[in-house]
Amino acid sequence: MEWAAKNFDFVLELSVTHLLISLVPLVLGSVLAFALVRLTPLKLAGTIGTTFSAIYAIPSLAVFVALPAVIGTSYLGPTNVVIALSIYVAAAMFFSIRDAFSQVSKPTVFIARAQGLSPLQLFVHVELPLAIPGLIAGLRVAAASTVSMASIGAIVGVRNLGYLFLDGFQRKIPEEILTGLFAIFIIGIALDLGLWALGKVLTPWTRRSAQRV
Amino acid sequence: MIEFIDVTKTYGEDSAVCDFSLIAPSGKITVLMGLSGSGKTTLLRAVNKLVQPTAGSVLIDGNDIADLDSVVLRRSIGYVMQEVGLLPHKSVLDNVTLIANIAGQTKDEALNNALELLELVGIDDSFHNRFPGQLSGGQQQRVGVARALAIKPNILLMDEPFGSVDPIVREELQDELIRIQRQLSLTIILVTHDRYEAIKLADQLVVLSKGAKIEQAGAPKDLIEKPANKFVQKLLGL
Amino acid sequence: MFSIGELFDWLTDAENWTGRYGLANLFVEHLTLTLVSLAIAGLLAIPIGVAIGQSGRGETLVIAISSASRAIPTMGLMFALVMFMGVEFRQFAVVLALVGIAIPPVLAGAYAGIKSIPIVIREGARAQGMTTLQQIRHVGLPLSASSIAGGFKIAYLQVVSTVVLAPLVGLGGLGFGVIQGLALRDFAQLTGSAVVIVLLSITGERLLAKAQGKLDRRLTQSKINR
Ligand SMILES: Nc1ncnc2c1ncn2[C@@H]1O[C@H](COP(=O)(O)OP(=O)(O)O)[C@@H](O)[C@H]1O
Ligand SMILES: [Mg+2]
Repeated sequence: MEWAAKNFDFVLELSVTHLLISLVPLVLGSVLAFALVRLTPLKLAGTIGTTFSAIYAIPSLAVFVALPAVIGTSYLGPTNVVIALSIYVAAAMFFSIRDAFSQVSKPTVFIARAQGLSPLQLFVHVELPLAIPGLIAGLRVAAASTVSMASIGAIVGVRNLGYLFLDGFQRKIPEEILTGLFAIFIIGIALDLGLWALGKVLTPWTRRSAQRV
Repeated sequence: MIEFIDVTKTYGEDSAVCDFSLIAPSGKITVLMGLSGSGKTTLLRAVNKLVQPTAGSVLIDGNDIADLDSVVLRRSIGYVMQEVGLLPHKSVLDNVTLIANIAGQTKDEALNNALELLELVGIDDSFHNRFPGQLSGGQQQRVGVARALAIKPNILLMDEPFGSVDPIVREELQDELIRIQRQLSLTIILVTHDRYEAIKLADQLVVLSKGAKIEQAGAPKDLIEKPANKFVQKLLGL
Repeated sequence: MFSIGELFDWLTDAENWTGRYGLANLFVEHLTLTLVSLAIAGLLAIPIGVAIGQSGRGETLVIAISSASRAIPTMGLMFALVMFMGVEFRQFAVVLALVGIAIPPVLAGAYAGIKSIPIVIREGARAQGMTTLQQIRHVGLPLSASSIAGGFKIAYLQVVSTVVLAPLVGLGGLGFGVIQGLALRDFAQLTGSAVVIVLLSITGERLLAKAQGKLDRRLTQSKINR
């Protein structure tokens, strides 16, 4: 991998941009989805769900270039891409968050409420911790697809690892394309492992040794 | 006649069935009764080769089933289980005719046979085109019995067949089972943990403890009058 | 900036629909690439997924494929394959990439479909004396059809959106107008093409979701009473 070694600093710089342009939407999108799940009245939930699954269906490049027409951002540059990816994350996480909370055992919640926990206490001490496995699973899927999708942002002028695909193809440098693939794969796997570990740390009761006691 | 000879089945370290020998006579109902986990299901499934015994053999009318093709064997034995397991995407009628069609009966033969069987088990014509999900638990089990009989077997294996139906319906189903068994002179092995059901249905009652150890076997009357030990006494509620 | 009026004019101008790079032709190209890839992926992935689900062997393979595939950027995969197979074989290379993209979700759908069939139903079929093939034909496939349709839905979305990038490696498809519009700063062409892409993807997604729901209803009928 001569090419990668020679251009190490450049690849590192692109990787940092790539990571940032993936992480920011992951956070923004999740927060948005969470707010929508918890705050919208039940009546609207169906409409939001339908809207999100439609948005989710739209190819990312189409969203990147359609956004400026809708909200007036610039055609090129990261703003579009971050907003578009955030919407994708929100669309995916809306369903995972909803399912994660609806899968929390009803009797457990019921008993906690009967014991006199306030809605906030109920959320912090019962619902949220029990929903963590579902939330983490959803985040892992969203993270992987966001990291992969972010590379398409290179087409609209974002200097991330996707740039290596465009540049490598134009200049006929196969190693450049492979470097991009490899770096994106590594970032995806790293995020996935990080989220998995976070899930384990946050849910000690699901560990095997804990179950045996 | 179904003959178990020193049948053993182990899973890892545990013996689900240990050295089990028994004869289930032709045209009679043999009832296996025992606590959960005593190996009853394993015994039944050894007869239609859903379970491969670790040692020993099962003979049907003198033929070792190990020598028979499992598909052919299963098409000569009806199998009924508590959860029924009807195909949810097929109508009641199709559920009964499917295996008969597969097994090579002509369409007409399979259909006429199915109509007869559904009448035999007491399913009204108006239910024929419904899906299993639109029937009650008892009705589903009736269809399950009709399905098991669709291939005209001489042998019927029943694993807690009436375990999940209401007591009143259960009694009805038991009465009908006795009637059907007489009419078709079936050889039945039936598993239950309901002692009333066991006593009512059994020609031969076999009480099992862990590992399918036979605590006592014989006519229900004999077991009630002379229980071999405390375990039998307790299980029969004496 | 350009207005909705301009977009409308562009979309309703017959000239933009005809010719080699007209929307009609690009649309057909886009759909053909998508459907051919999905068909090939289905032919490969459904039998394998069903076989793995039915036999219970190779389950880790399904899990490994579906999680690894998520971390591979579809854009990079397509570029790499075209590069390595040579630009003259780009059509073949792109289809290969698209098949590779479509296989994991279809495979997972077929596998999960079989696995989700209640064990008593599968056992019941076996106990009645159905051969393995009969079990698959009468029980496995019909009852996992909805899950397979769900796999195709995901595969469709990923393939349609990857085909949008095909013009970058010298093929056609609806992405052409987007890429050219970006290069020429022709925002009407850019947005107009995006609108057609959106219609194609959402229509397909809706159709497949409907199919999935319809097939699923057959299964849920069994749950009314138990
Ligand atoms: N496939 C299997 N793998 C491991 N253990 C099994 C399996 N099937 C049954 N067993 C064990 O064998 C024993 C007998 O099971 P079973 O025949 O189902 O009992 P019963 O029907 O009397 O409740 C139980 O301890 C059960 O856990
Ligand atoms: Mg049992």
